[in-house]
Amino acid sequence: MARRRKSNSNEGVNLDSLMDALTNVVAVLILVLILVQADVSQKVVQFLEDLQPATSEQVIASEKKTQELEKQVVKFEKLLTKEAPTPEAVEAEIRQLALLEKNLKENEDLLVDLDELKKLEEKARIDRDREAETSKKVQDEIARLEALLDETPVLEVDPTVVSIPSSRAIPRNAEIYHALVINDRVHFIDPFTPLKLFEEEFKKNRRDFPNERIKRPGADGYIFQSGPILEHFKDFDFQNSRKQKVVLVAYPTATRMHIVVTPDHKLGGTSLADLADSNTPFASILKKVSRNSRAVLYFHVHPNSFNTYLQARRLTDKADLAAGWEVKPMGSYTIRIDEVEIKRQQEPPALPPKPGPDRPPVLPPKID
Amino acid sequence: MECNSTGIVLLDAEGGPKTISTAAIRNSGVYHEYLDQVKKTRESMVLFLIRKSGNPSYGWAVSTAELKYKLPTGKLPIPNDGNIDLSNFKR
Repeated sequence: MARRRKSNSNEGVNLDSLMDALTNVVAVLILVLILVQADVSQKVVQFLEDLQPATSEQVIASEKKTQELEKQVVKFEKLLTKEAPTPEAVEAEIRQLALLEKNLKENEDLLVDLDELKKLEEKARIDRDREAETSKKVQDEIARLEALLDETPVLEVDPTVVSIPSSRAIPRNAEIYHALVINDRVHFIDPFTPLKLFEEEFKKNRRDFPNERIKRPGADGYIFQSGPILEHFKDFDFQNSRKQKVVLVAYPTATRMHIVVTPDHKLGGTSLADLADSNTPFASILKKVSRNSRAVLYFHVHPNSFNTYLQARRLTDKADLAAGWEVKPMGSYTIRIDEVEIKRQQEPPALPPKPGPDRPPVLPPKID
Repeated sequence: MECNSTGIVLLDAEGGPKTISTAAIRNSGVYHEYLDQVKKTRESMVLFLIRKSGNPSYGWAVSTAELKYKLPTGKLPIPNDGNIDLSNFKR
């Protein structure tokens, strides 16, 4: 180095050291190049070794894909050559798109409804099958009953014989007895005996009943207090042999007392089944009453007992006892005591309207 | 004449049975003509055949026949609900 420095100082700038450095660098570069070249060769060899050979199917698929891509390229090229859409056209497309989105939503809703409908259909099918099963059972039962009916002999029922009524007014001097026909039983009502017993008992004890004397044209009247009379007759024996309940009552708005006769609707009177017998209570009553030439028997018939009435009426006609009837559901019979006036406890309500469009005129009872 | 829950049926009216509702009985020309005809017939009467629920229509029909036409009337109960057949009626 000292020698080179010496020469440099004598003959100008010495470039030997620069040359050494450059030579070294070039050598290094050459060495790196050789190493890279060797590595690349190895990679290429490895890549070629790892590369899988394509099958014929893959080749055909790739060719098809290539053709499709080429077509798309042609299509896009054509589109690129077309004119750009106007803002109006874009706006129309946007609207159309919004409409389509809306339709899509509705369709989704409809699809939800469809699910519901499917569920309903399933339920309806189950119900239908159940009904079909029930119907089949009913039809089988009908068929069985029809077969049973075919085997059963027809019952011959004698018709109820009636005669055309000879309608006429009830004579003024008639003694009218009553019969309540209800729940297929006939209950005979004697209105005379309890009234007669009451009047006799009342006459005996008249002085004991508080009253008020009222001056009237002709003869003075007496108005009694109902309380003491009712108390006196509370346990009075009206001698009813038909086990009917006989009670004296004074309605608060009435100026006359009443005797209410209530039969036993379950066990009293004569039933429809017993009417055919000759020894029934009703038959014996008819026999007794028919001796009175002025007697008239008036039937108050509940609509549920028309048959019972027809049977009872047939016996009445057979006993030659005059009779009439009306359709009237009556559970008890009320006898008004006209002879004794009582003090009214409270004023009656306004009178009901006279017979008009809602009610037909009331006709007097008659024999028919 | 049949009295039922809806009105009356003139069973022997000319041209076949005629039905008149309860509300129309009072002013029915058909019913009045029928009663006129009965009135003109000697020894005639009106026979009411009353169904179980026919009392209201009977009330209107009988009051018209008796009070306005002074006709004799009678009545019979009809216990069952079948059709009425008058062919076996003895005269």
